[in-house]
This record gives sequence, structure tokens and C-alpha cells, in this order.
Amino acid sequence: MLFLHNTSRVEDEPYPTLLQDKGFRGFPSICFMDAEGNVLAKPGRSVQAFRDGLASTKSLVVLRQKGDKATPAEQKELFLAELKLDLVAVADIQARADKLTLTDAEKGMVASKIVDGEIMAVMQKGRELGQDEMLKQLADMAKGGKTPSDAVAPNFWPAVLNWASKAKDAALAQKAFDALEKRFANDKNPNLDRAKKSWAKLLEDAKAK
Amino acid sequence: MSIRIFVPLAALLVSLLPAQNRQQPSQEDLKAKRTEKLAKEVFKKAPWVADYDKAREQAKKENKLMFAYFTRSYAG
Repeated sequence: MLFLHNTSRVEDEPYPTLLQDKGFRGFPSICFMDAEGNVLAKPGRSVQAFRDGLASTKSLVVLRQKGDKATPAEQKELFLAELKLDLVAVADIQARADKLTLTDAEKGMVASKIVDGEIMAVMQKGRELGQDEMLKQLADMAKGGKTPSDAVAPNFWPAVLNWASKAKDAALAQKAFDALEKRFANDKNPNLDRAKKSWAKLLEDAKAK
Repeated sequence: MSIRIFVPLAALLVSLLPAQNRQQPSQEDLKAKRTEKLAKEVFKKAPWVADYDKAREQAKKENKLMFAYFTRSYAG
């Protein structure tokens, strides 16, 4: 069913901070929720992304309903579904993964999601840390070999490139630039052209004496 | 006072006003914007429920998921 929430800043408005409570920062925002109001998925804004999000959410609800009666295969399917939808707290990911038999690819996804969580935790403290310290912490993560998933890469690598450029760390800048090239290799979005030019400039500045 | 002094002086006085007094729309304005937003044709094309409590109650009763759309009316 369809729920419409309008933030009006009128004094009598119930749930005035519902957008932020559900983890969003801007308008418009969309998500699937269960009947309790728990967010199950935040789909992208294409029709296909909506369809995929709806299918994932329905599948998730069915798996959760199995509870203790779920088979090991169903428990694994539930964990991976929740992981893909970012519904597992970062602190719980490894503990849940350790109870399951995962393929190497699935273990890789688990590792990426843990890194994603660590990256998002730093970014969410951005205001508290200050921009320079936030960028430095992200750069340190990159230097330490941390690699985010494709979902977080577009936020992570530009931040790292930005820091590396200011710090004249050519090697790190090249690493960030290469990661961005790879991430967006098949993306035909024309709006990317400006971003790519700015990344190239940051790399050039990092290498300049 | 000549216009050449008045205009910059007026601009200076306005800039010294507390930011809140200049920028905060009235509750009446906000209510009017809210009414206008919720009356938009797009929201009549499907059965949107704008009350969070009622939406959850209906979702539970019908055993359905909710698709939520968050928008705002206070700007623009």
C-alpha cells in the first residue's frame, strides 16, 4: 500500500522528523517498509530498480516469516538478502556470517559490506570530525587496503582522491583514480564527464611537484 | 535623504535584521503550502495514505508492505 509523508514544518504536524528517523537526508526519498514501519529496502529511482526492490522485499518478508523453522539454506538466503539490503548492523555481520557456509564470492560480499559500514560510520561523523580529518581517515582506510562495494565506491574514492591530491600523495591518488575508472567504466551517464575531468585534475595536482 | 544613500543604507539595515525574522515563513503560509501540495493532481492518481498511523494500521490489517514516498511542502 502507498504511504505519503509530507514534511511541512507546520506546528501540528505529527512525525515531523520521520524522514530523518528512516535514515534519509533529502527530498524526495522512497523506500519499502513493513507494516511496523521498519525500512526494508531503499530502491533506486528507475522502474527496474523499483521492481527489483519490490521483489527483494517480498522475498525477505517470506524468509523472515520462517523464523526458527528456516532450513540452513533459507537462513543463508535470508542473511544474504538482508546484507544486500543493508539491513544487518555492521557489528553483527561477521558473527552471522561465521554461522553459515559461504562461497568465496559471498565471503567477499561480507567483507565489502563490513568495509562499507566502517566507511559510512566515518562519513556520518563528518561534521563532528571536520572535513580534513574525515578525508584523512578515509584515505588511511584506502592505504590500509580497505575496498568498498560498488554502492559506496562513488562516495569513497572521490574523497580519497581529494585528500591524496591535497597531500601530494601521487600513489594513493592514482589508486583512487583507477578505482573510479573501473567503477564507472560502463556508465554512459553524460553527467559523469564533468566529474571525470575533476578527478583527472586532482590526479594531475597530486603528481605535480 | 537622497536615493543614493537610502538604497545602500536600507540594504545594510535589512542585512542586520536577525536571519530568522527575514526568512521564517508564517505558520499560515506553511499550512497553505501544505494544503496546496497535498491537493496536487499526482497524489489523486493512486490511493496514497498520508497518515503514518493509519498507513501502518491498514498495512497490518491487509498484511501488506508499504511503499513510502517522502516529500516536503515548506520550500518553494
